[in-house]
Amino acid sequence: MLFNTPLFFLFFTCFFTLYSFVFLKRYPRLLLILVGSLIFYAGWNFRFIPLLVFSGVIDYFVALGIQNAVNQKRKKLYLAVSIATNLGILAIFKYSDFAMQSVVDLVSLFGYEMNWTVLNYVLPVGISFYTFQSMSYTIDVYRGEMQARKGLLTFISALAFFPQLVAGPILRARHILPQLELMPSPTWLGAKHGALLFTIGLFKKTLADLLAANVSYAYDGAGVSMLEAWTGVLAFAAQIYGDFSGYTDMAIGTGMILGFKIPLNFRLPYFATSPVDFWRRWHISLSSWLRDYLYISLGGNRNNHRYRNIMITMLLGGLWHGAAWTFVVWGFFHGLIIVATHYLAALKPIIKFSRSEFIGARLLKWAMTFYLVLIGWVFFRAQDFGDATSMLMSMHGLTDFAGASQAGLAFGLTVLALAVMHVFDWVILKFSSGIEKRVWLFWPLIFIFQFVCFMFGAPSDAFIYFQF
Amino acid sequence: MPSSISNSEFENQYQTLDSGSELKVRGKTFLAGLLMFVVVTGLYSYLTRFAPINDRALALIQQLPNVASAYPEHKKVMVFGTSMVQAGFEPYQFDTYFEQRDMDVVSYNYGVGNLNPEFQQYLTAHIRREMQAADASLDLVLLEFNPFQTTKAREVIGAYTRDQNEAELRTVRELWETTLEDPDRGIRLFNIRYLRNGLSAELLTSALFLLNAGLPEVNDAYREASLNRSEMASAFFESAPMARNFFGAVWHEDLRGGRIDKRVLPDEALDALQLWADSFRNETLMEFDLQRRVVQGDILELDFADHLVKAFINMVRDLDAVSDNMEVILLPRNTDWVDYTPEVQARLDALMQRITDETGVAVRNFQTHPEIGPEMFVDTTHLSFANGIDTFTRVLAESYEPVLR
Repeated sequence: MLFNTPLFFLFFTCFFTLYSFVFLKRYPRLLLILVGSLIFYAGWNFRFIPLLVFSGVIDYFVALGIQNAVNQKRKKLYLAVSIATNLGILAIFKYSDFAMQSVVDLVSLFGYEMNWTVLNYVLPVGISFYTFQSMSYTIDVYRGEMQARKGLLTFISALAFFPQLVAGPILRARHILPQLELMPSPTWLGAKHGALLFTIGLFKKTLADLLAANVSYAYDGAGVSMLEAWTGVLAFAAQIYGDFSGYTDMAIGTGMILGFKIPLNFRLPYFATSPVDFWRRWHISLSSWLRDYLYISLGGNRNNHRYRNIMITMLLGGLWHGAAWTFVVWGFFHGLIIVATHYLAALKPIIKFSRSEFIGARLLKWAMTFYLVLIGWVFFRAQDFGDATSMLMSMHGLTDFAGASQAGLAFGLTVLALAVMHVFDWVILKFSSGIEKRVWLFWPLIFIFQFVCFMFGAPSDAFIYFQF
Repeated sequence: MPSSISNSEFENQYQTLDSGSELKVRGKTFLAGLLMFVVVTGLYSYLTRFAPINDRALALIQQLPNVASAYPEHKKVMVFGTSMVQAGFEPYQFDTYFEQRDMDVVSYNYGVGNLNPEFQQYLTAHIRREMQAADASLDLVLLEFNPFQTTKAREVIGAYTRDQNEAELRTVRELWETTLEDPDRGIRLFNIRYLRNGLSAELLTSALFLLNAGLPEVNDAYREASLNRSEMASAFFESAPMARNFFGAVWHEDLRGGRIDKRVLPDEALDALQLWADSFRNETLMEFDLQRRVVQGDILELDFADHLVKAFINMVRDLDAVSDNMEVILLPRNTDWVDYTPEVQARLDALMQRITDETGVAVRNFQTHPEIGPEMFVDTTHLSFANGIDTFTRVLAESYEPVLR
């Protein structure tokens, strides 16, 4: 079920009515959250509900096992069970075909032939999100950062909590479990903030859908001019941002309308002034997860392998997004530019520039970062390396394809869409409480955006991040 | 470090959580959401209340019980197809041809524009259902195969109209079946049908922003060539107020899907009609129209979309099931503007053969019929309502007289 569909509207109306006016006690509400979340998930495919529940049940009991373990060895064993289960689920459903196909391709390079029947498993929606979320709980308990909870229903409800189930943000157990235990009451201002976030998210998602045609034209066509290539690359940057941050805004907004707080997942990422800064702003729940549970586990900054740890983290981060070598290269590329940033920032001639707050220096840093991020998106979006290479060549004027007559208009509209998304996000970040307190501004704003989203759309409204 | 909270720490799992103030907040939230929904959908509905979405197709569906039951003593002929049929076949002229030969024939023009075979299928399914429900059949069905409605370019455009066409042209029962199979899609279709006046968001988007995508820009020459056209149209309608069905959205029993009965038009209306029709046949306008067809229908290269070809074959089967005689026909082509290379012709011929092979229904090609010349077209594809329609209707009547006799 997608947030921007009439089915979700129907679902949420029913859910909200039952949650607010019928189920007024904690336990029934927990049950309602669980059942509602599973119905929400079943809107995509009910066959994978047992997998979600299985992952949760294993981690619930593993966490209790860790807490009650008599020695460190036993704790490690329990943790290994949790990690093996979650990564095993991911390996089977997400990476098995990719891994085997890579082996087959590798072997064929040496002149051997291997037969491999493609398994073609359907990728369960949200699998990368809920496995990471579930795993973070057992790791936190193992590290002693939180204590294991008793209450299987609460834990499974937290894991399946529908606003964040299929595309994040990746909620930590320590964040969501206490809320489900206390069932917070919403405030009117909070509900209004939720409605505003949901509406802006919906608007960004609509813009992202409308940009899909520009992206397809550039990436799936025969060959494009330099201007069209830049239009396509910028359009994809806007599309993936509008799509994903729009989705998470709607998730956070939905949670807030119910009274729950879900942390911010994006903070104007294209305003970043370095690759490191970008990852502090983009998909914050994933980058902080990778930092806390992978990078730090590898040793982080403490050993002499900081750069190696960054590269491993980013490579796996790339692979998390999809089972394809283009995603691995995308992760590798980001690892490389983060390492380069750290390396250069430590050089004496660069230190002054990297720390400068002067507007010219900031603009230059922003432009360089944005350019590098766009180069990264080329690998992320391209079907294969051939497509990526040809797009990179077109971007840099190394091809001589003629552009269509309306290429300039398409470029202008793409830039406008990207700017509009960021202006709205900036306004919400800076002035949301001011807007919410002014009735004359708040309601017309909500109405206009809702109306625009109701009026316009593109044939495909699926979320890009669902496939991850 | 957060502390552990077990269930036992809650004094009562069934304690009431909501205080009065919380209920108040939730009540306000619910009412605000409801109000927003009512205002947004209400305004949309109001603004789009005159949207001419599939009016003609819906009128044709509505008339099917009548088609099945009326004129039981007559031989019934249905010409089904795209806007080319709508513009190129006049039922009353066809029937008159047979009347003059002491034959009782009643024919129907079931041509509808802007529908590729994927969506035409919904209409043929209706026809099959209605005919079978009434235990009736048609004596002759002529199903137009329109090459450029079956191309990949057309399929791309179809993506913007898919939901709207499905929502409008399928039965409520079919929509319920879709809802059970795929609730997301089913609810979306119901939403389009009942809350959006049949106008989907993507169709509105394409109509407002993408209609001219890829087309040559309207220049001064085009504007000059189009001058006075609206005055000519006004002159025609002023002198012929009875030409109310000229654009075919409303069903009139005497016209049976046709455009206009010229016998009731005064001379000045016929003159105005001729003048108006001639005004379309201008080099600049024709070139513009051709470019539009190239971009939106790949009319010269005809790169067929298999998905649409299969849909067309389903249509043949639907109509063949409720007719005693059936043929697939290709309507006349404006050879001055639409010229096929040998490769394109071979591709088209192979496709025609495939249709016959898979359905057993013959294909008759009127594309280069000697009696229809380029001067009988109003643009690069449609026959002129001033002269082309008369000639082609007679050609059809002559061609199928042996079948109906």
